[in-house]
Amino acid sequence: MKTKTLLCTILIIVLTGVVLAFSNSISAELSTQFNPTAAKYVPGEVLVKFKPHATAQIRLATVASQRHSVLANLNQPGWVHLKIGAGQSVDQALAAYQNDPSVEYVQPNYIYHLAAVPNDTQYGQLWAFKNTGQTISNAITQPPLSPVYSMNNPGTPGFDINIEKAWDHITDCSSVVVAVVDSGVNYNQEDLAGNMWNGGSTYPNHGYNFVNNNNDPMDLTGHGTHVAGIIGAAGNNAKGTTGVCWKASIMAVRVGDTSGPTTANIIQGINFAVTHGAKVINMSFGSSVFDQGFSDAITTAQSADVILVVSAGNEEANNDNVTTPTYPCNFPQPNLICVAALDQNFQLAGFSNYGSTSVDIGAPGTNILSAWAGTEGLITDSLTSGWTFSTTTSGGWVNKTLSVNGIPIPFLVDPGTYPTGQYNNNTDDRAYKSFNLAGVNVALLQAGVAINVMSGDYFRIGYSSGGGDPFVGGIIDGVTGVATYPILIPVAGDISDCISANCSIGFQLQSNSSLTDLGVAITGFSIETLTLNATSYNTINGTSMASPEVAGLATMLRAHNPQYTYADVVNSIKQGGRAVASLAGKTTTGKAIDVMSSLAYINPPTGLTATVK
Amino acid sequence: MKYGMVYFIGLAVALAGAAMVSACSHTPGNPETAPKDALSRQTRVPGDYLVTLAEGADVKVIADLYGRFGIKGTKDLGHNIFLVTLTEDPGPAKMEELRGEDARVKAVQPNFVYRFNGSGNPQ
Repeated sequence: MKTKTLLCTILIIVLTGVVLAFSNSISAELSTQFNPTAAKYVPGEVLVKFKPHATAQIRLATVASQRHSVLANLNQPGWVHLKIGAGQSVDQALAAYQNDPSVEYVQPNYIYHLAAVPNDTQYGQLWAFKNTGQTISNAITQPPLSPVYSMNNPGTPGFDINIEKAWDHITDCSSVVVAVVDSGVNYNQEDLAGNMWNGGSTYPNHGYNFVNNNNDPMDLTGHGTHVAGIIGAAGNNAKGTTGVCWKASIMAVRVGDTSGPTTANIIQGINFAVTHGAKVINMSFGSSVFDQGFSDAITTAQSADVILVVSAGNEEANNDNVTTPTYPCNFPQPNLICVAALDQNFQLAGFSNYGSTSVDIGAPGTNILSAWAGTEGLITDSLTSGWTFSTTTSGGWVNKTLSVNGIPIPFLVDPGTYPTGQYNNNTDDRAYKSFNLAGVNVALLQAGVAINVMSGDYFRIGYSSGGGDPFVGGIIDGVTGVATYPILIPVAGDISDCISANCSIGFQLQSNSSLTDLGVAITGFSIETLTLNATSYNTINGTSMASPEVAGLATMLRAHNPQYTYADVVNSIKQGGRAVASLAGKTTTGKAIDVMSSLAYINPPTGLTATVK
Repeated sequence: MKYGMVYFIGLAVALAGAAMVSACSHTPGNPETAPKDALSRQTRVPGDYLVTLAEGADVKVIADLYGRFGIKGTKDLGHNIFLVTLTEDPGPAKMEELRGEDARVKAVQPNFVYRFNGSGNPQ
């Protein structure tokens, strides 16, 4: 037994030695990478520490013998700051003092620099990168689909992702392609134009548009542009914001518009990204429905060593709960990281989903400033004047003020007796008005509509870029973008086909000879517009904004460690994270991301074997 | 661009409530025309299905199985998955039932709709 025990001990020591030797080699390598390798020091100067027994005369004599002079005493026992003689190098001075018996230590006068801070004009607003307790301008006043929650603006200094120290080591992630699978990207935006993926002549616009099946993934909502800016807005260019990566290679993959992405587009988007070399994919969207096709695409990405970073969702839900899952967050593949949102006080954001088994980590997601696709506008109409009415019977549409919860609100109604009367049989009632949409790129119609029409009767919304009655000519459904109840208004209400100086928008109530009902009431009419430009920024909320911070980190890790697999990246992000009280029991790690710690984290060696003879 | 939808839906629901109360006291409203149904967010694209074929199966099986609903279009998404757009939507249950009758079709599912997880101030 003794012999066996001793043998085991020897074996353990030998193996430990092997592992330590391996670890040391990794440490040395990393140490080299992290050192300011361009050993920056002041030419012609050295710092010397004399031994305690060296008297003042000995010190002066020593310095004089080298033809050096004292610049300063450093108020630290034994240390002096010396100017070396003309024609001497620092190396020569170091060698001379190292051999002097009165000298304990000598070194160059190193030059230190502050942690890298970019000069971007709005950097001070990026609390996620440097939380100084600053107040964020244009903070979100309207929470997402959730009750009012504490804004924590300003927050607590230090509650950030600890990125400035990391920027001392790497700011350029452009060796790794990161795909933004989203609403597209405004690739002309001033902070993104130089950081887009080079798709060659086949993809000259830096990606693909699966919504319209063409190679122009221009963002017409702003969401994808914002996400892209968080990952890789150009840093230190004296403009706007900076991303996690100052230099990046962002692939724009457009899979959705205002009405959201679909499974078909997402699958194609992921496959496109993987096929064209992306190693990190960000997806800031979700749904409550399990989706096998989507899951399979993630598995395909896994086999290509691609990491996917996704948002946890904005429903304040526990994703672990079988009744409130969120996908893709809840998919189990190991190449997927799901991210919750933190506020400026590192509290779980009031809207953020969470889950101790489904959500991995937290990152800032409130009041996040980033690039935007353009300028948004809002055309409102009080519905009190300027509308043209027609009817084939009598009555028809009228302007009317109704009381909603005791508040008088103007409406367009048909019939005029709404909501107590009924509309006519065999009638064709129309109301329309022209709006100037010239120069905008996107137009989104919104209105509150209450509809009570009988089967066989129709309420329609129509528009025509040529002005006049949009229902004239008989081309109604589909052709001019008219929706017919019960399909009714698309949720997005995109009327961009109508963009012109004379866009006529109309409503029609058409009935047959059978029964009638209460009719239709319309209020809250507005047209949201977006005009693309290269200089817009916006501050918004969401786990959508937390996810790209992690995607940026994943990209940075892969750029810094080209040999890293997706598993190494995921491990570095999780292990390097910072414990946050509000995430305890709310995520698998209980941590927020910490960029510097993840960058410095050394993954344990794998595949190590030792032969014992 | 999509943030005003909260207001849109909110108003519609409020109005729907008012109208429905009124409808109950006057004329029976047509259940098919409940505004809430029309305005609620769709979780899938009506008539769209993702059909995954078994290894080696001919794409014409899609027409064989689902042609009765009128095929408006078919798009190859890669990996043996096809986006099929039908004129008449039989619903996911019927699509799945038919899939079970033909081994050449490995899977069928709706084309789900996702939502972006960002939100901000109306501009």
